[in-house]
Amino acid sequence: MPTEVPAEDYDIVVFENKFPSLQKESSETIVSSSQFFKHGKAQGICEVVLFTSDHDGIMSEKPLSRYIKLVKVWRDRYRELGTKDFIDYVFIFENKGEEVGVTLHHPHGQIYAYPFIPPIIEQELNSSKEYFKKEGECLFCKTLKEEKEDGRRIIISNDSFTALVPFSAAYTYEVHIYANKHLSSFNDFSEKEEIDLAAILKTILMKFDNLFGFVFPYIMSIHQQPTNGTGKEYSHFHIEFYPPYRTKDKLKYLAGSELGAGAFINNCLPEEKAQELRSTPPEEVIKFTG
Amino acid sequence: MQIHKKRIKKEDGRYLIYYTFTDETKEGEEGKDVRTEMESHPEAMDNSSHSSTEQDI
Repeated sequence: MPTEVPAEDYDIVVFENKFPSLQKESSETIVSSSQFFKHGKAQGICEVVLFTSDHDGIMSEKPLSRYIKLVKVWRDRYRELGTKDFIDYVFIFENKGEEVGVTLHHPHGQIYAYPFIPPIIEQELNSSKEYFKKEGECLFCKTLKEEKEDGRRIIISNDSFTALVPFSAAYTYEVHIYANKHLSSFNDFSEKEEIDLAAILKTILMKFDNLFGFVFPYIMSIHQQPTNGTGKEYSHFHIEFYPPYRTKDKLKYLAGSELGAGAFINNCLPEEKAQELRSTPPEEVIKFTG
Repeated sequence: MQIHKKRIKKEDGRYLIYYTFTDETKEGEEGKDVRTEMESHPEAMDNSSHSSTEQDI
């Protein structure tokens, strides 16, 4: 069976998904739209990002330099894919662990470049846009300010980023990483912000893996400005982690209330979970010494 | 740290990009040849954005 990556060795590799949900040269739809049921072509790009050549590698054990490289690659993919005129949103994400349906253990993530703004992000941006129009400031900047004033849900922070369990956490160990200042997207990053994001990412992954003593599964998604040119003032770079474990041996299942009614049940206090993650080593953000 | 990329076209027409970096710190065992190891794990991502063991990677 041939490998996807022909080189004998590599650092970070990106390639087009062999079985993409979206395609650059999308053919016409098989089923025609009706007046009531409308659909469009599945045009877009789906990429796979291999974080390391180490097939059995554990990312939390990798050096900070690996994370810096990954952030640089993510930035490059966001910029390059975002310049294509048929792409409105570049969505970078990672599904990690069998618990979220992954069977390939090689450290990797994915990128979907959509021809539209996906619904959850569109709803988030609409809320932020509405708040911006009403209050004249970014909703996420305001949220972070309130979180810092409260302090109980903050896990760690460095000069450029803050990790916290959100006030309205849907998952027990849900973690968000916010840019401290209003960075709309990777395009606004400085080199220091690349390093600071890498450092806080590595620290959170170490905390996750140290929490229960096994590699912690999660779904990670990066939210930032659409690449269609809209939303600079009210898009705020942040990362969201959704780990499925609610205790060491119990998973959170989406059931009647969550899927049928859209109301998430969380029987834990975000403040307590933030404290738990704060006290899980490492207690300080990993420092860059390079 | 400077980023460099080399794009190739695979036999089936898909692109693949090798990213390399200069002025990097040494990363111990990460530079080893894993091609054989990867070939023993014939897996790929499916179109539901999960990983699948049905195809090669």
